[in-house]
Amino acid sequence: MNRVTIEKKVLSENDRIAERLRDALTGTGTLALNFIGSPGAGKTAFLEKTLERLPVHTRAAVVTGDLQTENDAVRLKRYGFPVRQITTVGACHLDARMVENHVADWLEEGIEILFIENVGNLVCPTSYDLGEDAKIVVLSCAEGEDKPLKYPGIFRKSELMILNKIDLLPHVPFQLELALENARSINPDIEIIQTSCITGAGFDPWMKWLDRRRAQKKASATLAGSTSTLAGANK
Amino acid sequence: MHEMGIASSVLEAVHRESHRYPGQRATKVGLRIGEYAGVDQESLRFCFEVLAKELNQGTLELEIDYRPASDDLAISFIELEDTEEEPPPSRAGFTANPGSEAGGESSETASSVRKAKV
Repeated sequence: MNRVTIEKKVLSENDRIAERLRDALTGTGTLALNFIGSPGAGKTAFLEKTLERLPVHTRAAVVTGDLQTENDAVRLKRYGFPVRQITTVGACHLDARMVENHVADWLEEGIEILFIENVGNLVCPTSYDLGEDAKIVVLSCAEGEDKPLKYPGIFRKSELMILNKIDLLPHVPFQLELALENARSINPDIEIIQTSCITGAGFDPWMKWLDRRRAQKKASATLAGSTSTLAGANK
Repeated sequence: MHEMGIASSVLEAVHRESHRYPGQRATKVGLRIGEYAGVDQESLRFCFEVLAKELNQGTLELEIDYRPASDDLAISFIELEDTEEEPPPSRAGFTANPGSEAGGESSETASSVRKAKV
């Protein structure tokens, strides 16, 4: 018997494509955000409200993943930004190749923000790097406050948690403080914004968060451009 | 159910690796799975067994090393043993599952994987 050590990441091919995509996104200064949440958490409604509030001159685009139907893309297209549906036909997550195939021409055109709405699922999308700048987990008050404990992977990997549907708080047995505590017990650094797509609550801080991250991305793209120019000049 | 894609990727890696050792066949593969990797172990075992049988590797054993507080998802080793048989011809068929990592050959496994996913 011969034991051979391999030490190979199972998703190394996805990671390779994600890194290529990340480089391309950095080159164009595009902020890419990967929204992950359960079916019904309100990801599409959240993006609708976001697109509604974006200044019309913003060069933003959306890819939205679902197992079947183009319903989400139809909803999102009403706001005038380019939207593409990725129908995964059974796959429970988006992978980097799917995203890369759907955004290549957008990157050539130079978009500023790429919103990626993943397939509704708190588990599988967690494993797949899509070349994004940040994962954002969307949790709704109609779900249990123990979701962060049950699905720690996505809460650990997310930079931001959108606690959505807070207009329902008076009507559902959801312990808000406990939900926040649970999320922070998994990821002490996670930022949390409470939102309602019905009342618009929380969208001011969310849009500020978005502006801040866009500015950071632009700055890093400029820096990367200067560095490569310098490197080229030194050759 | 991305466990089917992961199982497919693991089997592809075993297939590639074992081809580097003519006259030997893989008997076991070791996989490290972190708590935060988003992989259900039982589901993965089931998918692995189904796919391994499809690929005539039904005797291949999967050893899972579970790591708490980690998001690791990696193949750590394979074990090989000598075989007196001629190495079987390369069998295509690790791609096409939308969640799979594999590279692009064929169809037979792909369709069986698709059926399994439905």
